[in-house]
Amino acid sequence: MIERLTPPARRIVALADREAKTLESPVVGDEHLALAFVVELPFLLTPGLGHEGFYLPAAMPKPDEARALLRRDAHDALATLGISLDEVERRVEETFGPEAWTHRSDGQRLNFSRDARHALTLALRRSLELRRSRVSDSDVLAGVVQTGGRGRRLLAEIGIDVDDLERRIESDNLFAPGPGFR
Amino acid sequence: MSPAPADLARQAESTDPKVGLRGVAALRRLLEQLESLHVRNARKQGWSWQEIADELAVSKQAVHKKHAGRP
Repeated sequence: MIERLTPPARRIVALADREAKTLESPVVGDEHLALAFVVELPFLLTPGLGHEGFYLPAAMPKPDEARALLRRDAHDALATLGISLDEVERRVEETFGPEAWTHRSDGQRLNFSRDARHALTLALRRSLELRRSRVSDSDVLAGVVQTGGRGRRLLAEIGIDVDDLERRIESDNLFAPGPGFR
Repeated sequence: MSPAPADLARQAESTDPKVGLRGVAALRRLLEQLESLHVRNARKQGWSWQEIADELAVSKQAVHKKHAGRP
């Protein structure tokens, strides 16, 4: 799969891997792929740096905001079950030390979550339908949105009009500016 | 006696499938994190895959497939 990705799409996947490690996730989820796009947005603006055509939200989303949202998601969701993530983390660190959660060396790739695999499968299918030889970063973004998991939710929460994005994906018009975008 | 509005609100919250499902998903992620952490610790202490599998109550193949190749 990875060998079918264009260089910018590979960069997205590599970034997602790094973000997943930073967030202490055991797998790369579709939300980390989404986060990688948020991180990449400023660079995608610069011509010659792998710009494959991106629509941009009116206000540039901030990666730190997105990371904080993902952390808060987990805290809130577990709190509804009566589980305190802070307490679990405290006990783990008490037993294994503060470095306990950071487990992989950077050279080692994490596995993809089920939703992330689904997103990449949809990305591949999209590139084939559009008769492209490779899977571009916009195909990966389309896959994340169409998967409809945490990645899509994250994009919506940081102010990206995901419904509009989905319409563009369906009409293969990811690149043109539209309302709310510059 | 009819329940107080605050109780009704709380009840509506807890019967919202979204709340429950997100909780379960977050719990699954936490479970994966903890499993990976403890398997790593066991391997570091020289435990065999069979011993780890026995404690986790899964097959040796399952635990090996999932965790082998990780440090």
